[in-house]
Amino acid sequence: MFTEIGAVIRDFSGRTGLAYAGDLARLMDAHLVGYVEHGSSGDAAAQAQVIRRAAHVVAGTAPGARSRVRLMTDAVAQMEIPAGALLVGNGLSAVRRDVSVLEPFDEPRVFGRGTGEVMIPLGAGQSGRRAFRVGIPLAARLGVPVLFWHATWKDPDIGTDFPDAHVSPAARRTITDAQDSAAANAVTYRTVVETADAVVAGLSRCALAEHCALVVMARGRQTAAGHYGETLLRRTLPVPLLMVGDGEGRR
Amino acid sequence: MIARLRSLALSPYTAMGLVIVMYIAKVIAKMAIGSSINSPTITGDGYHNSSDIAEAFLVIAILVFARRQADDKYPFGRKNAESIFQLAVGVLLGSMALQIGFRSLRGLVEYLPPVKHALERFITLPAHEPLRMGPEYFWWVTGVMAVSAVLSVLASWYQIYVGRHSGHASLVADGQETRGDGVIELVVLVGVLGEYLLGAPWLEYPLGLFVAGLLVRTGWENLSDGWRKLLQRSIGAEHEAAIRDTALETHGVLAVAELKTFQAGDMAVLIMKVTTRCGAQAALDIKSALAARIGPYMAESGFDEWDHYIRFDKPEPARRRIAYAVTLGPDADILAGRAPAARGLADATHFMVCDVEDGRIVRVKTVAASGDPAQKVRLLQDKRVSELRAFAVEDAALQTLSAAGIAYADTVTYLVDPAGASTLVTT
Repeated sequence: MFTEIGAVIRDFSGRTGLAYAGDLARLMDAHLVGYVEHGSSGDAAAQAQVIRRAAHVVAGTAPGARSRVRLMTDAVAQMEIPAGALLVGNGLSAVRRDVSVLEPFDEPRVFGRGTGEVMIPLGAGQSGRRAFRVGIPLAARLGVPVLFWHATWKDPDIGTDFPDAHVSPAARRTITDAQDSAAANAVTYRTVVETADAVVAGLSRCALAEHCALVVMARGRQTAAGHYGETLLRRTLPVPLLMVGDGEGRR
Repeated sequence: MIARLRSLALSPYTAMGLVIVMYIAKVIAKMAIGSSINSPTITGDGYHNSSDIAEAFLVIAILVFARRQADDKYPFGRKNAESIFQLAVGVLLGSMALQIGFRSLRGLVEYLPPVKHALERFITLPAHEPLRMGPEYFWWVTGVMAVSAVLSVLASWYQIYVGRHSGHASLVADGQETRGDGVIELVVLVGVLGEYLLGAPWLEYPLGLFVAGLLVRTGWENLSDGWRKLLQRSIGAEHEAAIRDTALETHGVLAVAELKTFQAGDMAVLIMKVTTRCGAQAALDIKSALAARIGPYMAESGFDEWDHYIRFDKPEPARRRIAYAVTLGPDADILAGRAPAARGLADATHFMVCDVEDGRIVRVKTVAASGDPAQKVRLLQDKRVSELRAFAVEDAALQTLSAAGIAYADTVTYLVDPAGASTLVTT
């Protein structure tokens, strides 16, 4: 599970992401790391000043979190991020695909709108499995239930309108494995299956209507374009979205 | 088959049809029996029931009108026609309460001679008309009034149940009026029984006062409910607070800028303006979520039928300008978007002037900053900058800035990147 929650400290923006990261770190008993650029070319006094100021910003924005400041030696796209770390900040998932990134949109706190479930959309592929391998332990750590969500196209050969009857065998295996994993982790879960050809709209509406606190997704290796998570972010999904890093959630 | 029968039984037209049949039967029975035994009590009640038939047809007409679909002329439908009927029933029940209450008081006074004589000193009391009935009519009157009262109470229960089930306030109101009729018939029956069995015909008078009180209460409920709906009063502060809380708990909602509620008939209408930073597509998702989350609350609160009109608005931009004092070398690319923060106003070679909207930097323009600090501050004033940021600034410059009405803050970072370009650029 994530032992380090990082956020980039910018001069003017990014306070919401930093606040969310601090709240998440506090809930997970993890370290909050504030990444800050210095660019002072070895000026030790300036570096120390930057670290002091950044620490002051962190203390003011994320009180109660165990925190430290780390100077960035590279841009976010290239900087070294330790294994097991989670980056928090809007727009970062497009920049760092190798690391798990949580985009909080406008939310400064994990449960600022009230306690909610962790929503994990599942499909027939590996992306859903990687998502639940990260999402279920996260939900367990946060002490909240999980909502598994699946959208299926209707099979015209099946007479009933009941959505569950239209789930493909591969997707059903993923759902069953996810449910077993939740049970094994003592996490309460429920499953919602919808027949919707507008997957992104259906996912967004379900997350909002069910008052989910967080959505956890992973990229599929076979999706060349139009990944649902990236589409949701472009659509300004207001529910915080955790995009599992490409190296995470594999057995 | 059973479902069809159930649907038929719960139809408001079926309920009113049966009520009309009941009243027709009552009129025929009471007029026939009353005239054959010369009982003015029964005959008089028969005349009263004939007006109930007319009222029942009016209710059907109201139902037909109110059930018509909303259109361009009546965007909220015509359900408020039922509220007009509710007002009328409220007045009618009040009038019935006055009549029976007054008759009961007059009757009681007849049995309290000291009170009667005291009142007669000030006013002329109307003549008291006791129940005119002989022992030969007893079983007829008792039988007709008892059956009539039971039928009225049963019919009223059926009307009120169907009215609530189908959301028709006019049916409920008429059911309450039918119940009032039934209760009055029971009071008359008590008077008859009191005289015949106990030799105490005065029993009906205190009961009549009690019934008058019930009629006043029911009449007032109909009056006030119809009045509220016709004048589009809000559904209640506590409901609006709950709706507002639900909206604010929904992700993407920054604020509820406007919330109005009223009723069109039994249907609650919600008009809400929500402030959000989300785009148009996400706003549709939020709208769908709000409907899904508020719907159960409305149903639990007794608004089985409700409609909503939700629109969205962006937050107030609160536009202002800030500037970063930066030092750029002669060969530096001023369009790179990032630069070292100046360590003093004297050191600043350029200002990165940033337009801020809704707390976000939306435009960055880099301008050359030449001359002494005072000249640089004048440049900032010309650019309408309200806040300057730098890595450090001289004390004297701070005073000049303050005198010019420009706030100052130290940058957190040494390398400033107002547009957030560093997420993409390699150092």
